[in-house]
Amino acid sequence: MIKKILGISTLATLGATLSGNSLADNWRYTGMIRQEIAVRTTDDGNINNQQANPFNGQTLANNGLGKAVVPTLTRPANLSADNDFNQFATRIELNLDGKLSETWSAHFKVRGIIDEIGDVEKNAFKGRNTYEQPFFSSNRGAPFEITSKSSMVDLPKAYLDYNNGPLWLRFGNQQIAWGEALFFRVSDTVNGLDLRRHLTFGVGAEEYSDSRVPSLGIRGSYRANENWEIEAFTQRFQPTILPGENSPYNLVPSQFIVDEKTGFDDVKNKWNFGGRISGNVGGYGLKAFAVRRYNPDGVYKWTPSNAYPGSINGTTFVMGTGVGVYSAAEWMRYAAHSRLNGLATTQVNEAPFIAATTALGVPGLAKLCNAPSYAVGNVQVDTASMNCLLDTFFTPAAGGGVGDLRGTIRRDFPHESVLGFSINRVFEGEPDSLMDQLIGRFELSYTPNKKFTETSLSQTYIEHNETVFAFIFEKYHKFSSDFPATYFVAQWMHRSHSDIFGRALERMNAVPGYYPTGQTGGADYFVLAFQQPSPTLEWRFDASVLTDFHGGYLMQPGVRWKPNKAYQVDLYANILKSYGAQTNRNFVQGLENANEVFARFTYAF
Amino acid sequence: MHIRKFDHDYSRRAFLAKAGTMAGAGILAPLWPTIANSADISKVYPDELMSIDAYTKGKVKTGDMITAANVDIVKDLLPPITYIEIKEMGRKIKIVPTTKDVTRLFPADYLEATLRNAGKAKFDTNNNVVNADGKPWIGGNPFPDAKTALEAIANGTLSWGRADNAIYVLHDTDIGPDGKIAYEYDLVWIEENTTGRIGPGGPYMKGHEDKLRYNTVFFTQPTDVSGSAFLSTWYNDQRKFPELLGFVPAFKRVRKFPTNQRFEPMVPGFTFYLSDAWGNGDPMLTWGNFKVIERRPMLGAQSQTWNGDDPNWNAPVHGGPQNQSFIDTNMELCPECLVVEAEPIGYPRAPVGKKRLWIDVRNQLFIGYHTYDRRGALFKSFEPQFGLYEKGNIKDMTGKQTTWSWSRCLAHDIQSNRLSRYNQNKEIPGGFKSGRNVDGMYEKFMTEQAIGRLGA
Repeated sequence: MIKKILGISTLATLGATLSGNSLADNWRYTGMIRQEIAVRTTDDGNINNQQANPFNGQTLANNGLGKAVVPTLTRPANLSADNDFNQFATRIELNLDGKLSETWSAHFKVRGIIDEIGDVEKNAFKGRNTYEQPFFSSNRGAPFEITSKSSMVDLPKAYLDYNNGPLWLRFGNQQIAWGEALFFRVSDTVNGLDLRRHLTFGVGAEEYSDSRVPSLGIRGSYRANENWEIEAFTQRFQPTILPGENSPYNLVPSQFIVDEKTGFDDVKNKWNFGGRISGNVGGYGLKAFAVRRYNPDGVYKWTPSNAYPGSINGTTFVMGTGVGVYSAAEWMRYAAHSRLNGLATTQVNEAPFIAATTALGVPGLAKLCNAPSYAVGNVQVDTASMNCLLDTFFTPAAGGGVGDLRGTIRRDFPHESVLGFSINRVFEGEPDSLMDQLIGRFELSYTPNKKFTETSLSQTYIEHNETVFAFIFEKYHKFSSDFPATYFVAQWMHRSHSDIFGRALERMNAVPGYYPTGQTGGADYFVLAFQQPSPTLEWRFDASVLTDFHGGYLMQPGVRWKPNKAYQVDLYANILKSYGAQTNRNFVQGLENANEVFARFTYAF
Repeated sequence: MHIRKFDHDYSRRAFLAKAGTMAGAGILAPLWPTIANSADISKVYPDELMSIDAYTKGKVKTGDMITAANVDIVKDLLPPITYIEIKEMGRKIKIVPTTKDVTRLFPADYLEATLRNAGKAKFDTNNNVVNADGKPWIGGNPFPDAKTALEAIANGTLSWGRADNAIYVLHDTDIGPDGKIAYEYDLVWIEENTTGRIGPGGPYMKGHEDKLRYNTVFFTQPTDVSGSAFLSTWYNDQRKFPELLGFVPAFKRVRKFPTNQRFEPMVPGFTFYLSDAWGNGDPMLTWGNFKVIERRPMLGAQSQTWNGDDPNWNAPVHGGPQNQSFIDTNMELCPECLVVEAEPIGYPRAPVGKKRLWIDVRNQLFIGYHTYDRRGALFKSFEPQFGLYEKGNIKDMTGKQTTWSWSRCLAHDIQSNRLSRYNQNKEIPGGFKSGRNVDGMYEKFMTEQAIGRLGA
């Protein structure tokens, strides 16, 4: 029944028809059902969500011009809700692989997920949207999926392979994974990520296999000779898909309304292209690549709110939602949390918004708030005047303001070129020595004029020539003859102008009420990981630590137990800690809500 | 006719007399000149070495089943773990006639190459096998009448499947200590020699003369390993580890892996290690301290091992706590086996202290293989079954010749009492079929591009 629902039987019949052979001969099914549960181990909630907004129920002094009438501002306490579970989902995956002829084969994977978090955490997540995104009709995040707020079925794999001698072509919906490093995305530039399921907090050893978002395309390679191969692809643009608003792993503060559609519509029929040449010279593995793509992660800027109910037309704000920003303090805190400049006035000074904000009297209000500059198109503020200006607006109508406001931003997907190369080598050494079968890898990518979100969400993006490189060392070392070798990997990644999530370093060191001071010298990350299986591989113990040189780490210890052919249990913990100055200077701060223990119970068939 | 002067101890004394000498195979006559002349070994060994009836003085007869009740009669003909399996775990082995026609112990073209190239192989200064002209080996057993352990191991290492290439589709069943099936896998094992080739096109695959073979393994079931694919590139220089490329579904791309960890299961439940493959799964010069221990008769599965009347060549099973630990097995009295040992000198922390191979001198194939742990205790057995693919009127053909191949293997970790049964199938789901000397294997399965594609 399940197979019929998901169309498997149809696919199989199609395959059999195409091949002219029986299913048993040329097709194979595999699949699994898995329950995925994550339990929070911290009191920190996800402050991007309404229900964990630390300002809920807080009464703050009103710094606005209407403070005489409304002396305090309070975010409603009833928006708060706590949660114990971060994840509670049931997954089913069905794979169908078939040989159509000596040169053609077909491969399909159906992935279905039911997110039960809204049933388990009724207060916090009931009715929340985890999966719906507006890229395609019916709120689908990708073209080959069926989506509701709490369930999705998609086809991460649906392609035909053609192989004839040295030529290989792949047609259809597919992931393309490049690169030497694990988890660090240096050359892995072809596909964005689908972050709706477990963000990037799944089992580290599984890298992005579940989250690299597939796309319709053609990939092909040709082996020129024994040592060299050339490869090329073209894929329809597919953006990185973010978790839904107010869902457990939501990344964007829900006081924002994100217009995902407009920027996507501009490029939805665009195609990315790329090529790679791979070879072996003197024991060194070499690769060089070039990709011309629309950056799937995108960049953000303020956008007019006109399309939304409650819009203050011509501005970037919507009023009367009840779930917006309620105070200057909240504004500043969330600006810093988002690595943005809370003192920025681009939403007033930039061309699309000048007329409307001037009509609203912003320059005049700025003057009354003693802003350093209040000229039309050049409103400049300091902390005090910005607090005054903001609270003036956040003051309820009785005090002359408009109340809470949501800001409207949009995501654009700039066109860019990424160039890069990699080199790897298996070193030889005396048996049992450090160098014995040590694998060394290096990869580098360069993106000229890469665009980044501006600290002020300006219409003009930050631009840098971004260089990212990584050194990787991997080794299997046998400590005892009684146990299989221990696998170690050590990786260092350097990014010249952005952090691990692609945010410009200008946005770092963001403290509420101040301009982000940014970081210079790049961002550096180090991973150390190991795996130790038991003698029969029934058990596997994992541990990995991702360290941000700017003070933070993600540690993931875990164990996998596979007692027999059908069952597997994975038990892992995500331990996140931002240490030192809490100035939003590392990737961890703001994600501590993902401190959790997660388990997966799998039945394979 | 039984020649009385060859009494029961004659062969034992003859084998003892050869101990420590460089004598070749054969008791009554040299084996290999006889094979070259007639392929019939009837005149090479006395009856007692070619008939279990004579060897046991009638206590066990051809056609009998060896069970716990009578295994002590043939205990000296069995590797220790096989004896334990029969004595203590309910395994049974049927005795079939000894194969006297040596052409039935080889693929025909491989025997021809062995005879054609006899005497041309030598070791170079590094102990790698080369042809008389110093180039890589040209095919067949380089040392058909191996007199040293290194020669015997070279025979087994340079060509595994005795074909230029072979694709084996197999089903693995892993049995836990409780006798229940714990894990099952479908996988494809592909090997292609690039030197020592015996088919049309000459002994070398053009452009690959520095290599010995390519070997790809990929799993098709179950879902957690489906798509895992590994490609080993072996060099002629047997001091070097192979290169290993792997496609792991979690990474979705082909990556290099180290290859010195060869004493570990590939997937949960496997009791087979890469090092065990064909009894010679590692480059032979990464091992050392080669020794000939003795020559002696043994029971080995060299004929009547193929279950061609089953649609997918599956074999019945029996024995063990759940009556499914062992594959039904036919063994014959192999008149002379070279018993050799070697130690894994290139693997400092290997769980294995030494391996012992029982090699049938008729075809230089191992019929038994044991490893011992570093304390010297029995560790694992890897027992193959070879033979012509014919059963009654049913035959499987490789080109114009009846297929000769392995049909089943049994790996047994006696310390944990876990077993793995490997059955070479006709086909497994996904359109993969067993075959030998198939055109286009290299491009299909033996390149980085290929394993990336297979790992879909």
